[in-house]
Amino acid sequence: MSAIELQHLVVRFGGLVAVSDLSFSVREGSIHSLIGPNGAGKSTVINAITGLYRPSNGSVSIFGRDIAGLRPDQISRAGVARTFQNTEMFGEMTVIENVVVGAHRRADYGILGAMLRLPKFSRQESGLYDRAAELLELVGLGPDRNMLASALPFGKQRPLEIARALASSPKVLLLDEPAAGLRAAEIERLNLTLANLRREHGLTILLVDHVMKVVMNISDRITVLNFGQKIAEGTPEEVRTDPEVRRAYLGDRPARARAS
Amino acid sequence: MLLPQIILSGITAGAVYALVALGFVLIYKGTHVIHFGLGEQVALGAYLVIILQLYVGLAFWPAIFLALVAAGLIGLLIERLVMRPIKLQPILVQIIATLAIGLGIREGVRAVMGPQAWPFEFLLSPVPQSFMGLHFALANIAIVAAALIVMAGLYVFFNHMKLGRAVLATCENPVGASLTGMPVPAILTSIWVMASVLAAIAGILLAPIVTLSPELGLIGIKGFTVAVLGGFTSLPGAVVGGVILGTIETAAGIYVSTAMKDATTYLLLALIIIVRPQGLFGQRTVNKV
Amino acid sequence: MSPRLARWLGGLALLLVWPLVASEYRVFQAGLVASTAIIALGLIIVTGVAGQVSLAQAAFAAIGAYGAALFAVRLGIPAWFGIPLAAGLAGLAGYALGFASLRLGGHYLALVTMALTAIVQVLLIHWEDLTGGALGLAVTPLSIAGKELTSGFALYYVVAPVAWGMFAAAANLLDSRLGRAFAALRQSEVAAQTLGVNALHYKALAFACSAVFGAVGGGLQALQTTFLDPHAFGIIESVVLVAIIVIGGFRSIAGAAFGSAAFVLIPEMLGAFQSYKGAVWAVLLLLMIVFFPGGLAGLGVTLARRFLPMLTRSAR
Repeated sequence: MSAIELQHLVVRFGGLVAVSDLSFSVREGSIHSLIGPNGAGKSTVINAITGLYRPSNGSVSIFGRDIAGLRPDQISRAGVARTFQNTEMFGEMTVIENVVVGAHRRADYGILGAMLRLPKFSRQESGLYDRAAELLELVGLGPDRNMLASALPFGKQRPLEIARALASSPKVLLLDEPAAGLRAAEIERLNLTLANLRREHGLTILLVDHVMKVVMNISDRITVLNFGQKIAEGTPEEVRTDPEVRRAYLGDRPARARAS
Repeated sequence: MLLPQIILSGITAGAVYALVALGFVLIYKGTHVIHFGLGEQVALGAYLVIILQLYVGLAFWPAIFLALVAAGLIGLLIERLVMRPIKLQPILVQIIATLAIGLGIREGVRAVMGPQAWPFEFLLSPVPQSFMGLHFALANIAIVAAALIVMAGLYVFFNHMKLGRAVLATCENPVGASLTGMPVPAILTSIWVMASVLAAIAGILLAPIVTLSPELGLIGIKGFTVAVLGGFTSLPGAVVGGVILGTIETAAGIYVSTAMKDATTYLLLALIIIVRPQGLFGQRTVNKV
Repeated sequence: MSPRLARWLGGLALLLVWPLVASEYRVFQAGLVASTAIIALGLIIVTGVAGQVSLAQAAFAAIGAYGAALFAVRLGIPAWFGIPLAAGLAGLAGYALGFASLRLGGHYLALVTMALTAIVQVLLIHWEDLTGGALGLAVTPLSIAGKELTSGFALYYVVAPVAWGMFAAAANLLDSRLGRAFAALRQSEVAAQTLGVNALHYKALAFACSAVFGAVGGGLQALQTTFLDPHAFGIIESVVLVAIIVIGGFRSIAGAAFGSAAFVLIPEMLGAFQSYKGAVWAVLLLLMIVFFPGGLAGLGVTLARRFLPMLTRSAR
């Protein structure tokens, strides 16, 4: 059973087909990347997996469980977490509070427990903050914990989103362009973090990006999309030398939609 | 009462609602803001006429003309002083701002003119005429005619005139519009001016029929309901919606009770929004993340 | 004892002691500020923190006011039980309404909540057998051991501690995973959902909270006004309540207190120009929106932090 399995996924917006007949699977504990030229449908795939878009057809399974059509919060409960292409931080909260929100489902005290500060609340709440602090250390944001999230420099916003996603203790992590806009040193750090997550925490990671320094370096397997369809798949080496991929990116023929 | 008579009464009432709704649709099409205070601007239109008659001593028709000018000016002030500074704030704040404008106009009117009802002259004869067994007044005809003229005018404006299309374009993409040289701020201001004058016209037509008091602003809700029924972006929809609401209301008033007339509107509003928010002719939009 | 608890208890002590050096009139006024603040607090939770516009707060206050009064008059249930009962019913109604309509955003939600308020008011005015109709309903006073509590002092010592309790509960709520979920939904609903927050449920919950607070405040205020007029529970009143929290500062619970105080005190400050109080209120609201989005709480936050830190714990 794969950690993530897409079978014949189709995502349509009105008349526009953003993703058509996409199938691939991600082995548990591996890092799988999704690449392709702009507009290839990569973010759409992530959005479809996490329930923000409803798949028009096909299935999406997480450890064998079909999650297509579920609400995003239900999919989160199935063990899926993600980061966003345009960072969706909670700007008015502090860095650590952002991560604590990620741990929302790690506690289950209810409204009365919260209002009356019942014992269950006290027990669980400090645990949430402790875990959040650990995760911030992991991504290198420990000293910034009390800073307002909207005041964070761009290079730190991405690690914050990762820490926040990890707070929900996912089994599968989806990263939507985590390296976009990062400087060289930050990219290095990202690579280390990802390798660490796979090695120490056994996380399965699906990664969408353009930055080849990350993708080629860290991926176990890569799927290449163009115009919403898979045009190549394999190890980084295989993909790097694939002529179809070259054509899609460099376009020595005029780009047009074609079946692969 | 015969069904045709009900429909006729319904059309008259509906025409007024449609006029108000057209104002909402105009502002929404132009600026993507629902102006919750437009109902109060309707009442203000009628009040302005009375104020000009009483305190400036104008005769009826000059007072109307000047009232429309004043209404337009007020629309300009609203756009410049309130809506423009907060254009970039979250929708919540803009909604509250339009509510505040409504509250301000209503309370201002109450402070100056008192909470009591004021009588208002009819533009055309209110005496019911008889025609083929149906009763109607010329005043009612005036209202229906006004609604149709305004709707036709706005329709032509937005669909067939360069300026109207420019307005729509500005609303869809302000940056693009200004890059192609369109005077975006002036266009937005003119939308508000137009809608304010429109509201004033509706008020002047409505005031003779209904008691003119600060409460008249609550007609705004009927305007909303009609606009939502028609699908907030559709001008013909506002007119059709007006007729539908007017008829339903008249029927409810006769077959159930007069108290239920208003309740019908509110229930209808709640129902449409929950069941079919895009109304009859509107479109559902999908948001891309 | 934690410093936080100490601060809150200190505040309570202050609330209970100051009337001893104040006039009956001022104390009665303070009681009105307190009951208004409870109603406004509900709106802070649903609109200020959770970001859901609600023009239904007057309706929830009406449910609390009329509910408790009718329980007392028709069923002999004293307000001690009647108000919590009415608040519970309001909460259920709030959750149901929230669930039905909170999928819609912004404008449509404003319209639906407006419609709800209008419908409730129509019922209050026209269901004469039940509510006394347009002529209004007299409110049975609260009594302890046979003695009726009708003086400004007596009512203050009922309402103020309840207000304190509800502010404490609200502060606790906002500083918990539920409050964080509310705030997260406002700041990025999409991100909150992918972190496991069921958007519809939490929005409906925020709405239910606003209903409960509104009903409690309404029920208490009914005891203070001793007479219920259905015309006081309409859309305009809902808008005024929104104005109260915006002027007070709508992201923090302190805003409910500041706004309510301003609302009760400003008419007095106008003296001879009483009839302009509505217009002044509206202009103040517009000024706040355009120039001071943080409201009075935002303006006064530096001062307050120095002297009364507990009140400015902000919604995060």
